[in-house]
Amino acid sequence: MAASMKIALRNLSRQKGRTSMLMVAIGFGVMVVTLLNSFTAGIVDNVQGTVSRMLGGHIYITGQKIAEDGRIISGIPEDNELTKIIAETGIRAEDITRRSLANATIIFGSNSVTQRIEGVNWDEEKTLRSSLAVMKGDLASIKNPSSLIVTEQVADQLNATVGDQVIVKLQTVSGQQNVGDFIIGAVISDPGVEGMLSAYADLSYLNGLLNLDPQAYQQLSIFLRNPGTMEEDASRIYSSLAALGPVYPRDSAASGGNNFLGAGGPGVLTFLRGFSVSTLDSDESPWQGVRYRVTTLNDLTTQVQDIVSVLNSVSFVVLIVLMIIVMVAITNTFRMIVNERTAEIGTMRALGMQRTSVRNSFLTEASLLAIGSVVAGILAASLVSNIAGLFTFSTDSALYIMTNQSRLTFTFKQDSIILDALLVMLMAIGAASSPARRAALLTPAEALRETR
Amino acid sequence: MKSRLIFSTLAFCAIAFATVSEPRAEPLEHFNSILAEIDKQSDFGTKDFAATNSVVVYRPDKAPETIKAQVFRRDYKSQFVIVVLDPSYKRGQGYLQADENVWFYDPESGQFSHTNLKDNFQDSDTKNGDFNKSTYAVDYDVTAETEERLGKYDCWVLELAAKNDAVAYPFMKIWVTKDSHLMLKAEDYSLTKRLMRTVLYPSYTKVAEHLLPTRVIFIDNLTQGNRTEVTRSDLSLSSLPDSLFTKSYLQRVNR
Repeated sequence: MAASMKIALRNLSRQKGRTSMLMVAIGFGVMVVTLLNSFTAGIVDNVQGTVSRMLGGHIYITGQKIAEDGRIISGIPEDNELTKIIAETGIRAEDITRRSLANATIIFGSNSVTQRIEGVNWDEEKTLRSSLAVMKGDLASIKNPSSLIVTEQVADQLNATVGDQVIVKLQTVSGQQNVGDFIIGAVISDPGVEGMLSAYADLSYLNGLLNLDPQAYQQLSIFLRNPGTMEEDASRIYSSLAALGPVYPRDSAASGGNNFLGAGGPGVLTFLRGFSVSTLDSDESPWQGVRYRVTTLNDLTTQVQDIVSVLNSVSFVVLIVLMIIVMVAITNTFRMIVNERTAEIGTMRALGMQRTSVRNSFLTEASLLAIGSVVAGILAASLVSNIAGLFTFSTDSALYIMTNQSRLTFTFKQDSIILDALLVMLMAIGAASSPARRAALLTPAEALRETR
Repeated sequence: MKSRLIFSTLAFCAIAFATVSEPRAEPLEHFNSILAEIDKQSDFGTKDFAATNSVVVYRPDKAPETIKAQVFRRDYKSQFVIVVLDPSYKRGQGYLQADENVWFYDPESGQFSHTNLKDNFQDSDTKNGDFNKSTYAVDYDVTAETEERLGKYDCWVLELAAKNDAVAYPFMKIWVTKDSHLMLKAEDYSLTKRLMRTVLYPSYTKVAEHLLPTRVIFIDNLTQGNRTEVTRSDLSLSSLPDSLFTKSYLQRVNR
């Protein structure tokens, strides 16, 4: 084995130009595929990061009950056992938030903006308070219940600033029109796509306008310490809730169906629209009390994940196509090498070298070539990703949601890189195996005669 | 000086007493029957109804946008279908009502999304429910009435409070002519009793035994300069096919 390695290394260094060209060809393929895979993984991470910050967590629990007239109304009462159930599941939560939501129109003079307003309990929401980048005003203004925290883009569209009194038009939980007065307390920077970050208001004050009890809420969000356990944790919560009362089936979260979160399933945009009054579907049975629904960030970003899985499939096909081209090149190159080294092979065989050793020296040469190419390809991908990460995207860009603080990020997944590297090595060995076998089958006398 | 003060106080008390204790000219039941009469005008019962609506949306600093829409109604089944005909980029969009639920169809995505009667029609100041029959007598109680002259018409001004929370506006004020009980004006108030919208009905036409407004002006009282004018034409009570009140009709209509 050591002899094969030594021979392979010597042979690779004998023809530096040819070796380099082969390495560039294989390395380029590795680089393209690594970049594509890490780019799509980065998109998933960034979209999920942005959405989790916007919605205040990774797992969302909403509740709905049937009113006397048969309409379905959203809301979770203050004195519910939800908090206790979550504590009993032993989930490691970084933060738990309770919010009410309104898809409202903020009006200032003749200017108006449609904006999602979240009612938050400022005493509980320390993570939110610390994450808001205040551009104008002061977060101390939240002591005033009618204070409204808006994004810079919303303030610009309204042509309003801190201290201005604005009118907020919204629908109560039962769908009635309502109007409230707010004072812009602070203007914050929008770290999401324009308008995707909510405006924030005092929970009790917003509840008053939504016609909800002051301490009730519509959505409980759990920010997990480890987002990797999201599905497992959601299933545990779901099982605990299902044991106590009615729950919305978990498997229908991705397929939609009920219009609780709007038609077409709970995609991000549907979820952001907020809650609207609806009636029972014809195939739906009525229930007693609050029916809970458990949704995860993965459910909301299924469309993004679908796109990413398509991109991953495309990158795999690209890898295969590139590798087939490279395999042809490797096969031809090794055939040429065998021809060039026929005399050498004959001499080594005459001196007692076994057929397997001859074959192994060629296969080792191909393996080393593949390893070097994979390392070079990954290094090149790392370099390109770092350069691409230097460019920033405007907050107005539709790509902004796919970025991390306006920069593209590439997430290099270890398992994906190992898989690609193994595939490249196998293909390189496979491509070299035919010439290697041909070399091994040469008899010493014939080999020496042919060169003469 | 003292006698003038006493006189003024007495005069004020007399006026206040007269205002408070003025006997109600008409019993409240009479006004509830007026609401029922208004509802009857817009309810076609077992007959189908169709009309072309021109919805002109006025916004400050923007050119007015005209949306042309065909409305089909079957009141006894609480169904309506609205198909947008113009502008071209909205052509084929449609609404289908099934009880409280309203489905919006977008031909571009080929998808239906859920909306309701209380949502605004397109980006105008009208609600989806404004294209439907009125149900004032079912949904509201008359809480107060006064008299007022509106232009050349003597009107009752009726203050309404919702009986349930299923209606868009919890409080309303309507101006109804004393003689023919036609609604000339309405003011819609929020749950916090803020004036949100004023609706004017300047012209009516007769279709069979029904008097229907042919022009309705919606004024947004919260956003300065926002206004929408709806003009109805081609009013018809001819029967319509059942297949028209289905999702597949909305999907087919644009092909």
